[in-house]
Amino acid sequence: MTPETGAPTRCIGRTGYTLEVHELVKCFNGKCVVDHFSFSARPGQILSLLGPNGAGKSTTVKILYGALRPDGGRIHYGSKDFATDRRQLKLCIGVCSQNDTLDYDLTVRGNLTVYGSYYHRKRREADARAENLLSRFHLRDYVSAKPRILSGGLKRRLQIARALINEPDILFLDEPTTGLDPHARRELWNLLDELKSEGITILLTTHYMEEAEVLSDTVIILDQGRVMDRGEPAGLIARHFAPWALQMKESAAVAEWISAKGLTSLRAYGQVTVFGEEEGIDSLTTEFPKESIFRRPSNLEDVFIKLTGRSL
Amino acid sequence: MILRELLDWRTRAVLRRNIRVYFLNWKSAFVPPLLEPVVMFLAFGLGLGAYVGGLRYGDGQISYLHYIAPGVLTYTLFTTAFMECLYGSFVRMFYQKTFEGILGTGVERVNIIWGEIVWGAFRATLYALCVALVLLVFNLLGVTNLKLASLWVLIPAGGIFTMAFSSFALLFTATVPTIDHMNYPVFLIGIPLSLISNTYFPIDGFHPFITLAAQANPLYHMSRIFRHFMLGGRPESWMLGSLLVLIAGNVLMIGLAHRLMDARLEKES
Repeated sequence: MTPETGAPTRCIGRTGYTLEVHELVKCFNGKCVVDHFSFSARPGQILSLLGPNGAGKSTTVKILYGALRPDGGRIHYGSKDFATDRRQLKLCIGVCSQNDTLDYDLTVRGNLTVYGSYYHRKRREADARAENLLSRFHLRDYVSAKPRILSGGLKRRLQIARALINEPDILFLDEPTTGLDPHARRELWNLLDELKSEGITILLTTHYMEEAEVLSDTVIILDQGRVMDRGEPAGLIARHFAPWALQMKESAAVAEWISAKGLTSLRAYGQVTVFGEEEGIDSLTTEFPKESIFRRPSNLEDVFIKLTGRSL
Repeated sequence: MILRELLDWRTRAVLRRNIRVYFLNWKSAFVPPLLEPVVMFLAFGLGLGAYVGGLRYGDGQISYLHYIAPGVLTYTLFTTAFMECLYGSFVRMFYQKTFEGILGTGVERVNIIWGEIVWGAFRATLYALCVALVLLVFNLLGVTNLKLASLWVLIPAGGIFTMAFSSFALLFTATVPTIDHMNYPVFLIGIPLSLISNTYFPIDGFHPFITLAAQANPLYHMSRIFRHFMLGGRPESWMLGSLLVLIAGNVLMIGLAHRLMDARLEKES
C-alpha cells in the first residue's frame, strides 16, 4: 500500500526531523499575513514565534500542520516534502490549537482514545497510550467526566495530552497558555520542558514575552507577517541592548541627560527606558532622586518595542 | 480520488467518532425514531385516513394507511439525513470546533466531509430500521398488510442513496453564516421538496410543472420504489429511470458538497 491511502508508516522517532520552511507565503484578500517566511527547527528544540495578534503566527502554524494551503513556499520535515508526503507526515505531528477544540461529546478518556483513531492507532495501543497520558498529565480523576466540567488549566492540559496521543516528533502549540492563571501557566511550562528533554521538537506561538524567554531555544519576532529578528533569547536581547534597563517617566530633563551620556534609550507610552551597564545607568537614580525609577534586566519586550515601535 | 477516500481509514475514524457519540446517548437517540412513526401512523394513517378512505393506486384501491407507510419510511430517510448534516454538522464545525481539532491529526478535510455524508446516511438508515420495526408490529397486529420482506434490500439501498440528502444539507452547512440561517433551507427547500415527493399524498393530478419538478426529486423516486415493493409489486422497467435519477442525485450532490465544504472547512480552521 502507498503511504497515501494505506496503513501509516511510523514516524522517524525522536532522532529525526528538522523542520525547514522556505519562503512561506499566505495572503488573504490581497494582504499577506505570512510574507516570505523562512526558518528551521532542529529536533528537541523549542522554537517560539512571538508577535501580536495578526502577526501571522497562527496562520503559519496552520499551514505547517496542513489545515491551510499556502500561497507559496516549501515545507520540509527532514528530507520529506510536506507537499508530496503530507499524509505520512501528518501522522508524526501533534497539534494543540489556540481554540478549545476538545470534543465535548466525549469523555476525557474518549478525547484521547478517539484521537488515537485519527492516527490509525489500534484500539489497544491507543488505550494504553491514553492511560499513560492521563497519569502523566494528572487527569486520572476526570477520566469519565466530560470536558465541560474541567477548569481552563485542565482543559489545556487535556488538549496538550491529546496532541501527544500519537507520540509525535513535532508538536505545534498555538498560544497554549492564553487565558491561564500564572500557576497553571508555570505548570505547563514544566511540562513543555519535559517534552523537550524527550527530544520532541516544539513550535510554540505566544504573545507572552516571559514565556518565550524562559522556554525557547530560538525566538522569531514577527510583525504583520514579516520577520523582525530572530535568535536565541539572551543573544537577541544582547544584540539590541545592554544588560540593564532603568524605566521612568519621560521628561525633557531625562532626555537631555541620556543624550549627554550617549546611552541607548527607548521611548514608548510616556515612559523612557535607558539601557546600559549596571554602573553606567545607576547614576541616573542619583541625578533624578525624586523620580520613580524601576530597575530591571533588559528583556524581549524591549527588543519587540524597538523593532515594531509598539508594545505587545 | 474523492471516491477512493470514502473507504480510507481516516473516513472510517470520523464515522466511528459520530457513531460512538450517538450510542453514548442511545436512550434519547432511539426513542424519537420509534415514537415518531407511531404518532404519524396514528394521526395520519388511522386518524386522517378514516376520513380519506381509499386511494387509487395502479389498477386498484388501497387504504391511506397503506399509502403513507412507505412514505413515512422514505421521509424518515430524507429528514434524518438532511437535519443531521444541516444542524449536527454545523454545530460540530462552527460551535464545537470538532473539525478544527480533527484537522490537526492525520485526518484530511475530504475524510471529514465523507465521514459526515456517510454518518447522515447511516443515522437515517438506523431510523428507517426503527420505522420498519413499527411497521412490523402494525402488520402483526393486522392493522396493515405490507410486504416487509422487501425492506431487507430497500432500506440498505435507500441508505446509500440517502447520501444525496446528507450532501444536499452540507451545501447549506458550507454556505450559511449562522445557525439561524438554517431556517431558509429547511422551510424554503427541505419542506417543499418533501411536499412534491409522493410521500404523504399522490401528486399525479397536480399542475404539470409540479409533476415535472418531482421527476428531478430523488425523494419522489425513492418513495415510489419503496411503495411499489411494499405493496407487493414486482420489478418494472420505469424503475431504471428512477434509479438513474437517484444515482445522478448522489453523484451531483456528493461532488458539490465536497467542493463547498472543503472551502468552508479551510475557512473555519
